[in-house]
Amino acid sequence: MSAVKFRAFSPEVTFPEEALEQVISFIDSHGDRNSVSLVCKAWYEADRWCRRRLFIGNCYAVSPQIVTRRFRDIRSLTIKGKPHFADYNLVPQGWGAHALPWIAAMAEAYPALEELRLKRMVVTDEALELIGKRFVNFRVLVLCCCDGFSTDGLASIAAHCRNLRVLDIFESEVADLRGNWISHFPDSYTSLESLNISCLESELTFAALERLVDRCPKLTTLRVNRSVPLEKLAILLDKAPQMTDLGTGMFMTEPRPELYTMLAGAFSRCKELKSLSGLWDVAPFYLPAIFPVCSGLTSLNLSYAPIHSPDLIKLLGNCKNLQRLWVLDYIEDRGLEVLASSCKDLQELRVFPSEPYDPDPNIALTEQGLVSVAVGCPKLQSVLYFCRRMSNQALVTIARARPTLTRFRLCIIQPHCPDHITQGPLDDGFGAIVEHCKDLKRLSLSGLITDQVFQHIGAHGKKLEMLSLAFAGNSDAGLHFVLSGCKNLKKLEIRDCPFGDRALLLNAAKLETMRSLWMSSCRVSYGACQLLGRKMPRLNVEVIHENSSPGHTSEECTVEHLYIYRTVAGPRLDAPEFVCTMNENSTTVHQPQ
Amino acid sequence: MSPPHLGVGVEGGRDVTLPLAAAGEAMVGNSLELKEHNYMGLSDCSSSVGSSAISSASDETRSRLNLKATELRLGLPGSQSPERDSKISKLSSSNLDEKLLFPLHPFRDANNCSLQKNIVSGSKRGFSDAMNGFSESKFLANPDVDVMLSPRPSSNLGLKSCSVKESPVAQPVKMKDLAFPCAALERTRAIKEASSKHVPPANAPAAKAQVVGWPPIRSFRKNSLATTSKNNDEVDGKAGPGALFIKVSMDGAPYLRKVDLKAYAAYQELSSALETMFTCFTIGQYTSHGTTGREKLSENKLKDLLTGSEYVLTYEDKDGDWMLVGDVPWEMFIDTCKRMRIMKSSEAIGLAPRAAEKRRTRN
Repeated sequence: MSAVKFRAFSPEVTFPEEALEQVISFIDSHGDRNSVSLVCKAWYEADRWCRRRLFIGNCYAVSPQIVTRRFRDIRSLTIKGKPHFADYNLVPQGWGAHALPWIAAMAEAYPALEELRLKRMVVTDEALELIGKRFVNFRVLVLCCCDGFSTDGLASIAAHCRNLRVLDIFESEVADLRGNWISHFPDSYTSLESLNISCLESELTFAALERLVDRCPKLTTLRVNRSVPLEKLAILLDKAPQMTDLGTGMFMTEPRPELYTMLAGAFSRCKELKSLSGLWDVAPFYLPAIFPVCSGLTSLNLSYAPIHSPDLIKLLGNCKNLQRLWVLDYIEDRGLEVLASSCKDLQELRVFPSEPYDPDPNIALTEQGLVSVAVGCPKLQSVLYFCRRMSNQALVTIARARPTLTRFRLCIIQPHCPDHITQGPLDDGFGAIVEHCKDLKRLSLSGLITDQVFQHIGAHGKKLEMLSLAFAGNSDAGLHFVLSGCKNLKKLEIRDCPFGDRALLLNAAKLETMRSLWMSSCRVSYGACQLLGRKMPRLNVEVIHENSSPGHTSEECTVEHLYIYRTVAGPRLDAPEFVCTMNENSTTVHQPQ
Repeated sequence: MSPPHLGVGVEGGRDVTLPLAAAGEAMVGNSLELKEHNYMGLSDCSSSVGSSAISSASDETRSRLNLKATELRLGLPGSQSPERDSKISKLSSSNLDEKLLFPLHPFRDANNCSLQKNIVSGSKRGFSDAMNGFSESKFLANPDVDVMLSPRPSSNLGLKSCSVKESPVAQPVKMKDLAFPCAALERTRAIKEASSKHVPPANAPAAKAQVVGWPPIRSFRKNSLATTSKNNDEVDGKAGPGALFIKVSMDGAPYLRKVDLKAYAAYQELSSALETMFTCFTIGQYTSHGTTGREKLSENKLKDLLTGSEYVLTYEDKDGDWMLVGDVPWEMFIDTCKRMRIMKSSEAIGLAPRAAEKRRTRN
């Protein structure tokens, strides 16, 4: 770059492109980069050329062709596919979010691609093979909640990606073909740093895993699956004392003192261990083996561990530096009290139900547990809490004590469950949450909820980006309050609420400022969807039929599922039969794709 | 209609908080009285109920609306006009007058039956069916809670809650009832892993049926929980009425076995069975130790092995303690045994000589 005399605001001297690109390259945040690209044409061009990391929040908001036309050289790509409610079986199988077209396009345009992170997408073995064969410098593969592939696909990744650092298939559905795919990592391969295969169901070829761990000195994250027995875990730990993130296999076998000693010794040699998970089926006999590492742990996932309160209390009492805890409701209120007094650095708490379908299990977990943690942990930011009762009083206490909350997801298991003290709705409680927690970005409501709470949310939820509603509200007013009030709302997902056409049509323009809106089992009519589709070309209004046939729907019919998202790519071409995208041509009779 | 302005105009067009805040109470109050009547799949009860609610309210609302407000418009930025604000404030009160607001829909009076017929919900259970099942179970479990929606055609929607509160000025509590029909429990696909977990009350069989995707737990977690509980059940020996399978491990053996304790009547039978099962694991050791040097395999060999100083039979009881087999009566043993382990005598320090002696005397 030649030295150029630069005078601010001088029209005849322009800032050299290279310099601009250099400066822009320091800007990491996706939002900021997007803003930078909108300043002026020069900056748009600069960003086009130097953008290396790309985040696509909805794979159908844009097409692979548009991406490859705009950006010259992308090294890291993150794509999200299906809507969040797909996690709970609300999106029919075969809806879409196919990864292959994206990977094929990337293979042509960006052969230097290094990182691919996909969430809720359908990834086939063919796609994985393509990754292995076409991206020479491929380093990071993260498949979060994906499906559609088998261990054969993993084998091709293992065989071909010589520079792979990270292989993480968090909670994906993998067809386990019982091949020893791990053996496909060549003997010369030593660069593995992170391996998360905890969702695999069948047995791993342990010998191959052991050899892999042995020859990869930088391996710091290892999350094995349930099939790995305790004895083998001890062996693995012995080989990798540099471990920072460990996911165990089965933590249970009959009590054997020599095994205990071996395990405790291996753990105590892991001085760097920060995160512990797995712990499927725990035998209390072996739990103390973990104690040596507890004080260093910042993240602990016990949400699959059927450990009961007394043992949990003993364990948590040692974890003074814990920042994140995921646990089952076996912890009970008293366990949460101990947590609140021991773990003052706690930032995130998730309590999952051990018996979600039992209306009245014998577990002493109530709203009090959450209150203790909210009051006792000054750094608490993120909460996911399943419980069976709640009160406005508790919610108000939480809101007042912890205005720093940014994520608050409460799931009271019984729909329409009222305040257990007043028997009234929980409007005031949730209202207090949005009012006090000014930085609240994500909120999920449950229990008995009327339109009043949406008034509060619309009035106070100015930073709210994601809102999840189920069995809530009384009328369109509720939806209207939210759509008209929450300026920063990006994702809204609704199921089984009495929201109909009016609020939706009134706030149609709002929908273009959001990433997506999901409504299922509400009261939106087909006619309204058609109207929206006709009038809003930059929205895809997808009417998804699940049980009924898509043909012969009249305007008055209510739609089962509705998914509306903004897009610059037009109606998608890969929609299955049961998905109708409303556009300017939409008529009452479904046109087959 | 002019094309919509994207993005920038949003804030300007959204300034409806003022009228809303003021009219908030009124709105909520109004919405309590004038309820949505066109629920999906709602049964006949709603139609008559709806009509009574509608007819009382519709006159009122009609008078409040002017023609301009009935014009269907999309809420586009820049197209907001003052009357729109007032329209919004009447939003909930005019909820039910869809016929005025929506030229799309054919004129609908309070009779909802026509709407119902159009609803595509063939394969699903009717709302009232699902609601009855669900609500009954909840009602029985929690008598303090207001009575849920029940198909009594005579009652007004606003009064559907418990019979005590008959006042027309509905209170927030009633919101729940009104929300109920919309709470679509109509879809009740049983979730296979979990539905067999507990026994539902006899008089509410529908309580067992689950709503799809509720509570919101990922499949991976659901499957893991199911497997965990299965494992725990096995460990506790709760495998079924006729059998009591427990795991038997043997030191040095590559895998465990399971035995049905109910299949035996006494310790002798059990130990014979175990001997047969674990013969293959001990033969190698036996000959390598070269005690007798005989090649012939027989149960006697194993028996000698077990009654000799090589192995001791132990079990884990309900308290988690490891006990020597044979001390308690057989019935008590079956009740308390959770799993067994054939332990090497060298580990059973202090037990082995006594064990050997005991076996010899018993045999």
